[in-house]
This record gives sequence, structure tokens and C-alpha cells, in this order.
Amino acid sequence: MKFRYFNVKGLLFILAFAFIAVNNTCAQEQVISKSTYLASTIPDSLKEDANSVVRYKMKDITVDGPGDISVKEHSIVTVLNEKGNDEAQAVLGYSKKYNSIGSFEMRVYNAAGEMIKKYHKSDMYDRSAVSSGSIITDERLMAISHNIATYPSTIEITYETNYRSSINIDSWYIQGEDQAIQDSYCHVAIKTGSGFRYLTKNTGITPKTTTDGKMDNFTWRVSNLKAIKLEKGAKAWRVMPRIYFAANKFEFYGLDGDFTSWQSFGKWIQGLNANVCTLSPARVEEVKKMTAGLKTDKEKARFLYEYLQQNMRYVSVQLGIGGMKPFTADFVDQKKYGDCKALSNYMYALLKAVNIPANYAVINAGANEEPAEPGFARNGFNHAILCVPLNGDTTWLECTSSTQAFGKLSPFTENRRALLVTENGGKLVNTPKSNAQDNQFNSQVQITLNADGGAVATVKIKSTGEYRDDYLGLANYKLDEQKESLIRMLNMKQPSLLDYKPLIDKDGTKEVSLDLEYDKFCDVTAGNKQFYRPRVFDLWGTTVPVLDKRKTDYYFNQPMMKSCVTTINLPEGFEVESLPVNQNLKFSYGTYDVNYVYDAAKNQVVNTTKFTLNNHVIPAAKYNEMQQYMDAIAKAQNKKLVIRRKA
Amino acid sequence: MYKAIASLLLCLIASFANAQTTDVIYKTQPFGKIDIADLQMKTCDFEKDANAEFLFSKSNVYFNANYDIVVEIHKRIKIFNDNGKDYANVRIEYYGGDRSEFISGIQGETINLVNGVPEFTKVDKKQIFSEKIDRSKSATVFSFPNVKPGSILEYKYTIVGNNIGNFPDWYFQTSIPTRYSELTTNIPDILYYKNLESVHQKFVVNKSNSDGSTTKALANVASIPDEPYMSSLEDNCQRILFQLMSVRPAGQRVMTFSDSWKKVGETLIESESFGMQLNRKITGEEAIIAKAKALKTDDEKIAYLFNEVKNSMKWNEYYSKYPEDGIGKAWDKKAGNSGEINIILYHLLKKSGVMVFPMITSTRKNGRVNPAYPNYYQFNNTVAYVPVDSAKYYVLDASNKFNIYNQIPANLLNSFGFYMNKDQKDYDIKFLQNTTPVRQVVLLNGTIKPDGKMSGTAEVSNFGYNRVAVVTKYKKDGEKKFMDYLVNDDNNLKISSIKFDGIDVDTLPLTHKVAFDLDLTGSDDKYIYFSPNMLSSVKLNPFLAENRYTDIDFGYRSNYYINCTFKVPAGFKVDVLPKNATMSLADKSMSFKRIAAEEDGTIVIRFIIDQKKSIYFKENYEEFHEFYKKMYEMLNEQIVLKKS
Repeated sequence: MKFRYFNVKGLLFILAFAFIAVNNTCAQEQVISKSTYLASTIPDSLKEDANSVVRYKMKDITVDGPGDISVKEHSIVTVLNEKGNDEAQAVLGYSKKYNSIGSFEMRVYNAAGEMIKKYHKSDMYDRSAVSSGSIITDERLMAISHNIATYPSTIEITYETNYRSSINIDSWYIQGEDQAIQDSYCHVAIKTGSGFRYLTKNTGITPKTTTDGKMDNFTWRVSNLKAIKLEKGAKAWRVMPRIYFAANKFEFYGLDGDFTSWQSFGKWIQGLNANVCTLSPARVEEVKKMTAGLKTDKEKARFLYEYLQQNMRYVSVQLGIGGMKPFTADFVDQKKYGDCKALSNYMYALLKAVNIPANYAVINAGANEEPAEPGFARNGFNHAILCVPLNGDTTWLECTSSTQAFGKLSPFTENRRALLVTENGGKLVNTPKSNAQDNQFNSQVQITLNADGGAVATVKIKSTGEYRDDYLGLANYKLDEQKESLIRMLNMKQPSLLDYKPLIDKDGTKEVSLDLEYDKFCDVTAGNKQFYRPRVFDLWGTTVPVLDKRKTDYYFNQPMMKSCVTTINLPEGFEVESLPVNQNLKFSYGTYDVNYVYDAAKNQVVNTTKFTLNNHVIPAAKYNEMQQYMDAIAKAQNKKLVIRRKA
Repeated sequence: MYKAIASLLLCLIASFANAQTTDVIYKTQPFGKIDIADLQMKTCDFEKDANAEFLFSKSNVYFNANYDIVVEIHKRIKIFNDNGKDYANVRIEYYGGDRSEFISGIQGETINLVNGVPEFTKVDKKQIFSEKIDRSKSATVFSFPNVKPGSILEYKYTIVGNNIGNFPDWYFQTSIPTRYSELTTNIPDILYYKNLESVHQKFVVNKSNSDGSTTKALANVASIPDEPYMSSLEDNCQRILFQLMSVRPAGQRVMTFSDSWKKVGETLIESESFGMQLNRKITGEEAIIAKAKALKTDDEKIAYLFNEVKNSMKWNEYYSKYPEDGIGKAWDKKAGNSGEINIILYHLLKKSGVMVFPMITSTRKNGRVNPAYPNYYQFNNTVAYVPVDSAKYYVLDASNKFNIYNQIPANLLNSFGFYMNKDQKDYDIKFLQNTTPVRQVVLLNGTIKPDGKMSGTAEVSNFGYNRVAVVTKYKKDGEKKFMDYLVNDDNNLKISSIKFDGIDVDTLPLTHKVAFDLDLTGSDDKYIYFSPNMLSSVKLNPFLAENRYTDIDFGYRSNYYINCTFKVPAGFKVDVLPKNATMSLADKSMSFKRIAAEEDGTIVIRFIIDQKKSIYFKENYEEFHEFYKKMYEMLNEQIVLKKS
């Protein structure tokens, strides 16, 4: 079962189809010896942690012009075990009008390097590229898959694709996860004077370059790269080696575009939006009337955002200009739905109707996803949001969510560079970073114990930010499932009775309550003593694996802050025998404090627990410190309260 | 004041309308005709937590003059809240790529209540998209405009198909509740279809109409549940499927399709795609057969051939009754679907002199076979069936790498297999079940140290299906991940060594012995606490849900035996020891026992769980739920030692 709330998360618009193309490539192919097909010639060092080994790969990109890109690829990959099976699959995207697949062939060899099977383009399965995120799309794909019978097997694939419409030049993702490289090349040939540039990530390799005055040639080579295992909590874009390419001009669905700078790309997007971002005069008047009573621009913006949230819904429809041009503001106004572009553009139009300037912005969405690079303009975006400057009180709006608080982004888009589309073209700006105060979970718990070990308890939780999303998301499920999720999410002991009330959601704070009854709440009882876990749920449930040496940074989705005050009323005739010890734990980025006080007069134990994580990116060097800290929290949460019958 | 009274009145009317509805049988309404009460309705009256509901769902199926199947669909959906809005996106898939079906007459509208009056907003024709999915399939896709909580959405369309063998299924039950679901069929005399009904409620309409058609309808159908240990969605979803049985063209010979098990068997055994595949030669079979024949007993032959085929062939993860490429080709490729693999096995067994028959089966996910409906449509898999004597038989499926020959694969249990003995003209079904309990035995020895740490060893033996589960996990993930799985993210538990016994002998239990160190973190300066139930597979209660909508089907009986011995350190004595306890379900179909004792600083505690049935009915869930809650409480109850 999914506990998370996915409303905003499934909203990627399909810029993701970064397509490519091929024609008259300069033959850069290396001579391939027979031993390349032999599984036995793989050095042992490359088999370590690897599910597959790239024996040879040549990626050959030829850019004859912005509207004429071709990619030719030849790869020989030995699959070592079942987890490398994906290497025997190929999925190539294309579109009816602009992008085509020229040729395709896949050959399968056994360990001894003998060919046992051959597939052609005509064997491929052709289908619409509709995914669970979108309801319809123009894009198509061709796919094939071979069922590997024995390991190791070697798969050889050659294909050519031809693209007459693409914003980007295909990137070179050098190495897959758990994949070693014996020998791999990437060659780019591009017309001299195209403004070609490249950005190398997580590797220091440099190309050999040549030019004949007409075409510039760049060749990169890597060899004997060991497999990389992505550590738990690491982000691939921080670890996996890759090279991005860009040139000054592009052509997309017949439109010319300029990628000289972020400024010029922003200008291009502005051009797409220019004739769709205005509401009809009649609607403008109505919008003005709706907001007439409101004094400040901020109040008006809030009112209109809430209007959008209540009336419009997110639907992914990827048609038209490659899923880049929004539907008109009037379309959204009438149909009351749209995708992220259409809804952001509609919000822009609503604000424009009351003379509040705003900026459409594109961003790479997803928790802790890769930000845009200031010095390297390329299209790495998959989502659109809106920025409202409000004279210095900059306010960001996520227009696809019906629940997001006004002016709040979430881990989906926060804390990274977005491309703001302004009158003067594009401008890279940072989206705000949420802090621990923005993501709070605060709870009040009353437990009344009874003499036979049972208890009744009430729990009140106030949540903001991501925690608020968790509780809003629960409403998607049936009541039984909601209760089950709560018991698992909070690691509660199974109650005899659970009444869950999803109370109110106001000003970005969600309140819920739980009423619980236990016929047996105490862990154990013996004679005149009872032993308790002195809380209803665990405030912090994460521990991380013990490692000798962490190599990469660990990412949480966001900083956060949690607290719980638990008041335990002892049964009449009982008193405390021993309280758990108070503890103050800390590490470089957070603290955990737990405090117990026994009020003998009220016969009450009050337990106050606070957890703070100030920074959500934990540097590799601090990992062990965090691991020990979280283990210490788990231990602290395990301590018992012992009560006994008064003598 | 006036306003308050008005709204109070409105509430009264609404609740009155609701109160009425419990007894009323809902009907369909023509497109565009709507009751205000439905627009005012706030929740589904028979499933309060639903985010959306089908007010009705109606299908009218008949044949036109060309004997094309015409299906007219009309659906009306009520959206209760924002979480239900996804039902406003409609995607209708059909066989349009090969032109065997086409869709027409699509209309949709959103109906909102505005100032007490229904407001109709049509789905824009330009916003209804056609998509060619692949060579055979197409989709029609649209989104309703103007959707808000309270909206009613309705749409209708017609699909015409030219394949009389592909009569459309009708599902009364979907992922949201349905207030009224109606199917009308009108089938010409020359065609005869058999209805495969899976319906657990009473039909509110079940009648023949004057035009020769038949109407069946259900009311207040709950949404499909998705529960742990549910047999399958297919078994629990209310629906009608149709199977073409015969065609009687005027003045011509009747073409009959299978209508008895015998007929089903004869049809299959004579068919090119099945029966004709059974005795095809495969490359190099002579050597294998010779080796098998040299073995003394049938059991040895079966074990040898089963493992030979299982280890040679890579299953492509598809279940199928039929070979796709033919068994010769599959054998040469060393890969294939379950039909290919098991027909190869059948062939080799037969050639080696073992009495064996082909049998078709249905996997758990595909749904239970209904013995009252003779047809092969219900089955999705072929296996080799070896009857030994009146009680003993083997059901051999060599496709899954972890299956063993002397145990029916777990996903074929509690359903029927259909075997075909051509020579004896014996074609019949057989109920596949496993009646012996499947055991897990945990023997744990721990020594507790005064500083609140424990070190010890555990020996976990898994039998039968439990063995298969462990071997699968171990072989797929490797030793390190298997240890991580045992540790289950608990950094206080460290496993220093692991050793397996019997991993290569299918017929033996698999035992893994581990040495472990555990930090008993609850401990403080006075007490040491620990839970004795460690390293067993009964840790988390799967039955937390308060209600149950489907029967619990474990597939087979289980028996757990957990015996733990702990040494108490010097200077400590036992403060709390869990009490001896026994409990069982009223009908004795499940029991739990805990025995604990202490002597001379040694604690012995034993848990025994005995599941005596494989299926538990939903009607007894309340008792079952309470039993599980108590059992897990007792399994997790701690032992307390006190410093003396």
C-alpha cells in the first residue's frame, strides 16, 4: 500500500523525450576483436558488484543542423546475471511526424561468443508511449525484449535514429548502476560554428577534438570502469558519470529555437506562451470583480490561487508541440482542467487579469532532483510552476496541487534552480529552501492507564509541509486502510479500538486525532509491577545501515521537526518505580531530546520528546555520525517505564 | 435565521431522500435525465468512505444483421470529493488496430448543481482523442470538464465487434462502489453462449424480456477489496463471462464447442496448438530418456527428468496452456513459456515409461476453476500430471526454478486441474490440495550477559512451501541480502555467521543456522528486557484491518514451532516470565500455545501455532481478527530480568 500522497509527484510533463538523430556519420567504429564476445575475457575486477559489463560501446552523434540530428549506437554488453536482464531489452522512442528509427538489430551470443539469435526492426513491438502519468500523448515507442536462457550471455545492439525535432542533443550516460565498462566511446560530429558545448559530470574525462573546418569532432573514451553501486539515500545525478551536450540552435516541431543562453531559451518559451496566456475580456472583468474587495496584491493572489485549487484539476494531456506549449487560458477556464503548463499559464492569466505580474517557470521536479546549471543552458526540465514577484515578497505557486498551501513549494520543486520566463527572456533563479519549521509534526498524547494493564489514549497531531501531505494523502484510501496505514506508519501497538478523525486543514496546518483503546497496553505485568513502552507511537522510525565507509551524500527529502508531549495518568493506587532516563542526543545536523517528569501529586508522568533535522543532505563524511545517532534514538525509544502498586 | 431554517430543511430533505434510498432499487435513466437528489448526495450510502461511485453502469449487448456484436454502454459516475476526481479521466481500450472492433457515438457530459438547478456541460468532441496503441489495440480518451466535488459525470458509447467468439465480459464490481449495474443481452437462436457467472449477491433484476433479451442486474455492489491472503481479484470480483458453445446456422450442421469435460478434452487433445504438440521430438532426447530408463523407480525417473527440464529451460515468466513456438524450438532455445516447458517434461516422462498425462491448471492469480463450467477458457497453464495411487499424485510444473517435484506448486492449490488420458478416453478434473501442514521450526539458544547483550545461535528449519520461499529468496538475493532480510534493519542485531543445510536436496527441509549478537536496548541499570520470538517468520500481524470482505486463503495448512532457551547471567534473576497460555478458534481450526518455564537460571519458552485449515471464511473474521491480535501480543511479550 502507498502511504505517500502522490498528487504532485506524478505530474511530469513529457519534455523527458529528449530525442536524437542519424545520417551520414563519419565512421568512427573501432575494430572489434572476437574476444569481445567471449564472456571469459572479462577481467575479474570488472565483475565485482556488476550485473552486466559493457564490452564495447560506440555512441555516434551527428548534428548536421538544429533540425537534423542522428544517433547511431553499437553496443556489446555481457549480462552476468538475472539482474542485468534489462540489457536484453531495447526501447526506442519516435513520433509519427518528426522522429524516426532508421535501423535496428539485436544479436544474442552465448558465453563462448557464438551467435544464437538475431532480431530485426520488424520484430519490434510498436505502441503509443502513454504512461501512467499521462492520459494521452503523441509520442510512440518501439520495443523488443529477449529472454536470456543462460548466464553469461552477450547482447549486441546496433541502431540508428533520426530526429528532426529535438530541444536537446542526446546525453551520454556513461555507466548504468551495477554496470562495469570495459571500453566505451562517444563521438559527436557537429557543424563548425554551432556553438557546441558539453558538461562533464562525476567524471574528469576530456575529449580528443579535430576539425576540418566544416565539422568539429569530439571523441571521449572510457575504459575499465568498475561497477558503481548506488548507496541507499544517494542521488544518481551526484554519483553516476555522464556528459551533457548542447548547441546554440534547436528545432522543435518545426519551430526554431535558440539555446545560446538561458536568456534565449526563456525567450523561446515566452514565445510559445504569448498567444495563450490571456483570458477573454468578459472573464477578465469577472476576475476583477471577484477580487474587487481585496486590498493587497498578495491577498488577491492568494484568493485566485485558492480559486484555481478549488476549481481546476490536473490532467496530463501531452499533445501538440511536443508537450511544450500550454493549452490556452480560456481552455482551462472552460474545461476546468489542464496539465502543469496549462494550469501555471492559467494562473498567470488570472493574475494578469488583475494586473499582478507573474513569471511562468520551468523546473526539474522530484525530491532532490538535479538543478539547472548556470553556465550550461540545456533543457533538463520536466515541470512548470509559477513565480509571483509581489514587489520583493516573492511567492511561488505549485499550480497542479489542490492542497498545497499558498506560497509553499514542496520537496518536489524546492531548493533548486528553475528557469524563470520574463519579458527579457529566461533567468535562472533559486526556488526557496524549506527549513525544519516548514515541515513539522507536533503531537499531544493523553494516556490513561488502568490497573489491569489496559489503557485509553487520545492523540492529536498537527502537521505542516510534508507531514501535512501524509495525512491529506490518507484520505485517498478506505477507512480500514487508513487505520492500517496509521498503525504501520507510526509503529503503534495494535489497539482494540481505533477511531481516526481527519479534523481540519487550515492555513497550511492539518490536524487529525486518534482515539485509542487497549485491553492490554503494558508490555508485561508481574505481581504488583507493570512495564510500559511509555508512548503510543515512535517519533522517529529511521535507522540507516552500518557501513565501513560511506562514499556518497545521504539525502532526506526535507529538513523536519517533530515533537510529542505524552501525559500518562497512572492507575489509582500505583506509583512510579522507575522512569526511563532523560537523554539529549545530537549530531552535526540535528538533535533528539527526551525528558520524563513524574508529578507525584497528580500521579502523572509527562514525557516530552523533540526531534530536529536541520539539514536534509548529510555529507558522506558525517554518515557514520548520523548512523550512530539514529541508533541511539532507537535505543532511547526502547526504554521502559515501570510502575508498581503502592505499598 | 431564515437562512438557517432553509438549510436545515435542505438537510432534512437530503436525509429523507437518503433514508428512502435504502429500499429502493435504482434504475438507469436516459442520458441527460437526472434526479436532483443524486446531485445533492454527499456520500455513497452503502460505502461511506468512497471517493466516487457509479450511480449506474449499463450494458446492452445484441447482434446486428451481420452477426456483429454490438455493445452499448452507458455509465454515470458521482464524484464525492477531490480524491475522486481521477474518475473524470476516461480511457476506453478496444481492438481497433486490427479493425475487429470500432467505437462510435461517444457522448459525455458533466452535471453540476448550480443554484438548485442542474447545469449540463458537454464533453467537447474535439477533446475526445483516439489513440492507436499498437497493432491490435486502440483507445479513446477524454476528460470531463468542470469537475468538482458533487459533480455527476455520464458517458455513453457503442462498440461493434465482428468476432462472435469474443463476447464482452461484464464486471458488476469495480474499484469504486456501484449503485446499480445492469447487463442486457440479446442473442440470436443460432448462437449459444454459456454464462460463467461469478456473482455473490442476489440479482435485483433477472428476467427475460418480450424481445427475447435477458436482463440481469445487481444493486449496491461494494468496491473490489484488495486484502492480504485474498485468493485473487478474479475470484472475488462479481462478473459474467461468456463462452461460445455452439453455432447452429439454419439448415446446416451444428458446430458445437466444448460443453462437457469429455468434449473439452477431446477438442484439446485433437487440436494442433495443444494435442499435436505433445509427442514432438526434441533434440538429444534419446540420451536423456536412456538415462531416465536406467533408473530403477518411477520416483527417481520423475525427480531426474523434472530437474533436467527445470535446470535446462529458462522460463520467460509467462503462463500458458499452449506452446508459443513449438516445443522443439523452445528446447533448442532453452527458453519458453510454462506450456512449452511442461509439455517437454510430459513428453520425456512418457517416453521414459512413466504413466503421465497432460493437465491444464489455473494459477491463483488467474482465478479458481469452476467445475460446473466445462471449458478450457478458465485455465492458463499446462503441467504434467502423474497419478501414483488412489491417494498420491504428482503435479509437475518445471517452469519456476524453485518448484520441487514432490509438492504441488503453491499457486495451483485449492483449485481444479483438468487431465487428459487419451488412451482411456478419461478426461476429468481433479481438486489440487495439500493437506499436510507446512512447518517451520525455530530452535534458539541465547546467553544473556549482565551488560544487556545476548549472544546465541538459532536453527531455523523450513519445510515444503516455506522451504521454497527461503530458497527463492536466498538464490535470488544472495547471502548478504538474505542476512539483511533476517536482520530487518535492526542495527542492534548482528549475524556473525550463517550456514545452510539441505539447500541442494529438494526433498529435505532447509535449515539455516545462524550465530548472532543482540543488543537488548530496552535494558537499564536495573532490568534487562527481551522478546523471545526472534528470527522466526511470525513477526508482524497481517490482519490489522477491522473488516474483511473476502475469505482468507492461505493455500495450505501451516504449523510453527518455536523453542527458545535462554541463560540468565549471574547476578540476575527472572522478574517476569510470560504465562503459559492456550487459545483456539471456536471451531478448533486454529490454535496457539505458549509454554514458559525457568529452572536454575535457564529459561525455556515455546510457541506452537497450528493452522488446521487452509481457508478461513470472512463470516468468522471478527473472531479470527481478535485471535490474531492476541496471538501477536503473546508472541511479542517480553521477558524481564532483574538485577539481584
